[in-house]
Amino acid sequence: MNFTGVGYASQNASIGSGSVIDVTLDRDVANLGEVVVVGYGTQKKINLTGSVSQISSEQLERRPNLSTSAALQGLAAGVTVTQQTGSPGGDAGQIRIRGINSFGGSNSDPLVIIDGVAGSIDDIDANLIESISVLKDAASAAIYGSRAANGVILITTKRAKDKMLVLYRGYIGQQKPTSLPKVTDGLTYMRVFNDASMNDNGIKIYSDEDIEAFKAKYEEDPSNYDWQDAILQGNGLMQNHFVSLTANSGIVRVNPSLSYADQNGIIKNTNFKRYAFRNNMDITPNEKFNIKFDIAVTNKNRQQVASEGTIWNYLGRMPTNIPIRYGDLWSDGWVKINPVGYIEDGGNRKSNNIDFYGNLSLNYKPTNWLSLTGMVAPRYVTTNVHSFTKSVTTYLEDGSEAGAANTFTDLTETSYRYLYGTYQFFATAQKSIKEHNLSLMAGTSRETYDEKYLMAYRRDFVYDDYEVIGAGADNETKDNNGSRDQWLLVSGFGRLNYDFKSKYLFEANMRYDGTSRFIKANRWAAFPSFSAGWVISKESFMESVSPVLSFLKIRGSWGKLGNQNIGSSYYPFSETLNLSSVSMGGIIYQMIAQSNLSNPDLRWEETTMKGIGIEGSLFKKLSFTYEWYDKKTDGILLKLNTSQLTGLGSPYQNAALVSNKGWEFSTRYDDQWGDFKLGVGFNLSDVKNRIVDMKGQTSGALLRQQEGYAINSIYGYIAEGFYQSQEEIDNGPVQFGTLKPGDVKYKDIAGEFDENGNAIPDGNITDLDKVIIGSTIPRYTYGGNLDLGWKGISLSAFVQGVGKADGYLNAHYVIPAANSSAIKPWQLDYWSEDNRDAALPRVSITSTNNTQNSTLWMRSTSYLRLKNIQLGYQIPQQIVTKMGLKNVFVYVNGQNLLTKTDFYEGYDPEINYNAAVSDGVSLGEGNYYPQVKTFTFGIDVKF
Amino acid sequence: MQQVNIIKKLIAALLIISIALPSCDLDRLPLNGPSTETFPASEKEATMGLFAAYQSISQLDAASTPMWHVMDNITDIGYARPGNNYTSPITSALTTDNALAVKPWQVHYKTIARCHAVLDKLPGLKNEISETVYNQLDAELRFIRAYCYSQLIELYGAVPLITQAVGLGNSNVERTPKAAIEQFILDELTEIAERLPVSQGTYGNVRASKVAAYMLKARVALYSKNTR
Repeated sequence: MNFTGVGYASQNASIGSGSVIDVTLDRDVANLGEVVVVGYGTQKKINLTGSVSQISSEQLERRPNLSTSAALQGLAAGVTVTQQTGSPGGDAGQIRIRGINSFGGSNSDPLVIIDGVAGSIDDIDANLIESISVLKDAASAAIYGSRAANGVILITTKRAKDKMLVLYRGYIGQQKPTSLPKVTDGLTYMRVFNDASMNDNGIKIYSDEDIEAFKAKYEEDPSNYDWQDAILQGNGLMQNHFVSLTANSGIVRVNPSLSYADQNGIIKNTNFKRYAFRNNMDITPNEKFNIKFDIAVTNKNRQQVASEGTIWNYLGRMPTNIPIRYGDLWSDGWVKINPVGYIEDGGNRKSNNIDFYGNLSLNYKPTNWLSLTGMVAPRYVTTNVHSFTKSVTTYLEDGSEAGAANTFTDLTETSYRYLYGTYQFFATAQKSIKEHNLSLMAGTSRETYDEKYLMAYRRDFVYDDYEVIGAGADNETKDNNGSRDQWLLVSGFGRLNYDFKSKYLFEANMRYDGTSRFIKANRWAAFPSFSAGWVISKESFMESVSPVLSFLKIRGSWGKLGNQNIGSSYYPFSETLNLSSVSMGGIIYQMIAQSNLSNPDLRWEETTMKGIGIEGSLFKKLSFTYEWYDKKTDGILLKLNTSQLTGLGSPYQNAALVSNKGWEFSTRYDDQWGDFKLGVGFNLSDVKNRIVDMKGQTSGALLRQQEGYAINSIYGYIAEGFYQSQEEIDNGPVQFGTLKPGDVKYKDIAGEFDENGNAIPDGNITDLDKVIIGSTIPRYTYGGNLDLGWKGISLSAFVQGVGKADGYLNAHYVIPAANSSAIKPWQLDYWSEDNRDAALPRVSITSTNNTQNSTLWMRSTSYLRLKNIQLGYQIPQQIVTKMGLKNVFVYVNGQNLLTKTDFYEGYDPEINYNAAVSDGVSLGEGNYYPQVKTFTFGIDVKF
Repeated sequence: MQQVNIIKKLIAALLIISIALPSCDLDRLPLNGPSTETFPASEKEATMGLFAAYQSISQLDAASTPMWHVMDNITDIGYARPGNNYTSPITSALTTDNALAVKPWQVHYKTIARCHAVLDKLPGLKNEISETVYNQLDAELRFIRAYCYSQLIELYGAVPLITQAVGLGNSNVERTPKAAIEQFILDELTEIAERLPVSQGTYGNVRASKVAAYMLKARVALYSKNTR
């Protein structure tokens, strides 16, 4: 008889004549008997030859993340997640698996598959997730072929197991910003600007009378000058409720669930609400048939202030000697922009998203070694964005109108309708001959996509209260637009698994994809992968070591993956011609012309990846994994220079090559002494990214793509301290404008080259002196968790961080006195005759020298965060059963509580990772909703 | 036996599916407007392409000033505020990287490309367009092309003579001697002149006419000192 338990190694025991059988199960720290979800099937963990990271539902549930993507940060080695903002409804994480494959606009996001259907990771509530498998290498991901180059995330939702169970899980809490760019008051502002103006041209901007007059007004009503407090009036409260019913009658098993989430922002008129319903149903009429029928409906509503970017732009910028209001009226603020007025009267941006999903899957087992599965999964999504920007009138001190920064009120309504279809069929055959185990899987799939876009715009609303298109002016300022897009993907795939005694393992995968995105000649492609493994611990010569080294396996893999998500359209092989008009004889005629050359030969980016891994467990308590990989991505899109004889702009061509080399290490230790439980886990990974070939081109001025360096590098001058005297300035190179002591000195690197090819400083600071000064790709990403338990009390802490990365902010976010911005306390350390050892250069309004892109304004964005800490208590069974319940668990949870970093004070170190731009990074700007820390209190009840 | 039957049925099913796969129609063309795979698909699209070629003739991208006015400003009949691009031609110190040396080449080949975008596929529309309209479209496009070459040879002498759209693979074209291009222009205009209407006044005389074709032919012949 075989005895099994989750987390324990299975054991065989013979049934003798006795009526009592004593079996002791050993802990199975490596969870070797566990079944892992892989592409189109499952595998026992011990037999895996590919690199798959497992994330269990315990690591995700009860965390106050509404976006599942953000919750993955730090949980799996090799998976780097960056999150720029905590904006309600906009706090998704940007996921990169094993470095960044591509640049120049092609997609580097991993493929997300939910229950076998391609989807988006943030559409699914963490409470619904049973497990997540991250397929990191070619061996595991090649089965997904032309969409797998950036890795694959497989999500499985929970299905009914218990006979009858009702679960309620809810939490309430509050969010606060992790850091805010604090500013000094108006008097300091006036003093610093007087210093700057004296530095520049020897006069003061604010006379002593000006300062006295301001002081009087300020003392009368200091809160009227505290812009930050007036902007951050949101309560940041959030609540989340999840109810699910599990019913299992043997033949029919259902698991319907309902969830509601509500999140308020740290500024007013900012909110996110999500309602979701899901029903996962299994019907097993007999042992040969199994029917799965899932439906899910999600409704998301996000509300924001109409010009939210402007609010964050001015949060740390608004001069503190300008009042917020004159009596009841909005003051003219800065250039007629009053951010507090924008929040209250500036209009709104409402975005609504409704998602209907259905999945019908039939599984038929005609014999015990053959299983056939067919699946049909349609999905219908609509996204509607209503953007109503109101004109906010501002006033001067005497009450007269000053005007408004945006002179008219306008409304843009955008509507997207998406139709997805997924049809799959696959067959799995398993046969064991003596100790040889063979398994073969083959299948086909077809995926369709149809998108329709509609937009309407009107302005000059007579009544500001009717936010509909019909209420806008019906004249030549109205606008509308519409478009339609489609794609189709047809594939065949297969897998062969062989193992001998679960000791020698071999696997081969193949995917054959045909896509509508490329022309016939390039349409079909094959993506193979091979992997093998050797479970050394099962060999006889390892038996003596087995009490110490209970499990040891080495594995290796090689494979090819593709990325068909290239360029910016679903038809990269063709160029759409542009409609325009020409006037002839006073009449306007329509004309049509092509602006860029088309490249019909465009094909997907191809990634070739090889890697080795070693896994083991020591003393049956400590498990570890170490992997090394080498990935090359070829055919990345570049616009190469083309002859002017074509008469058209250059097209994209498959030309660039990127290399990612890295390693991953993860370990976990679990032990128990009586009632006390201890678990420690740690993962660390590093990747060296390099653009190997870019055909000699470069791209970008501050955010730079250049051969020989990592993607998204930072480019600028090397700053070498400040000039301390006029003599030093005279001996230095020619820089920008007239220099004075306290200005930045730049390194003069190049102009001409000598006979050895070394650069000779030429006495001028020009573009030739710019070099790559930093890299934004995080290095040495790590995560660690500690789980403690004693009787009913449990404490778990999770730290996460990045060892080495650079970030960049400039303009008024960090440069003192730039754009007449408010002064931050750390900016007061500027150079002056009495403060020669300062951190910042001489303060100036007009200097162009000190504002150049250089190492001076670059900072390290390495950080360590106490990402999550949770203290919970499981109410004792006696009390719970008396209440008529099965289980009650209460907890308090804190997320992002502490962040240790050397980045600029007031800005989160992840601020540059902007998922909305094509390469995922935007440097220099800081006008984003801050990152938030969250405190919640929650309760789980099982009836 | 039952197992063997099932296997046979399964293999048959899989074979059918695998044969059906490649026959799936995976052609998807952009739905939002004519694209390079289909343009020109009708007489309307061809005419709109022709208008685009007309629009390109005069563009030089210098503060919205038509090309000839910009050129006039470096001669005795015009004057423009001194700037980087005007000063060196006016003072006879023109360099090869001056905009006035570089841009006309770019603009004329752009116009020629717009002509070829329609001309290359026009024979395919012969059945859909009436003969007179077809001939006139063809003639106007070739007129524009001949005009562009007539300007190019006066500015640059020998230039590459391309008579079909140039793509990524075939852009390495040698320069053809000026005399050969002159002959090409004269031959073209001779062939098409009769197919154009006498005048196209309704279009403000933007569109080519028989008169324009003969006048251009005469000018090219005159400049080439060929008065046959």
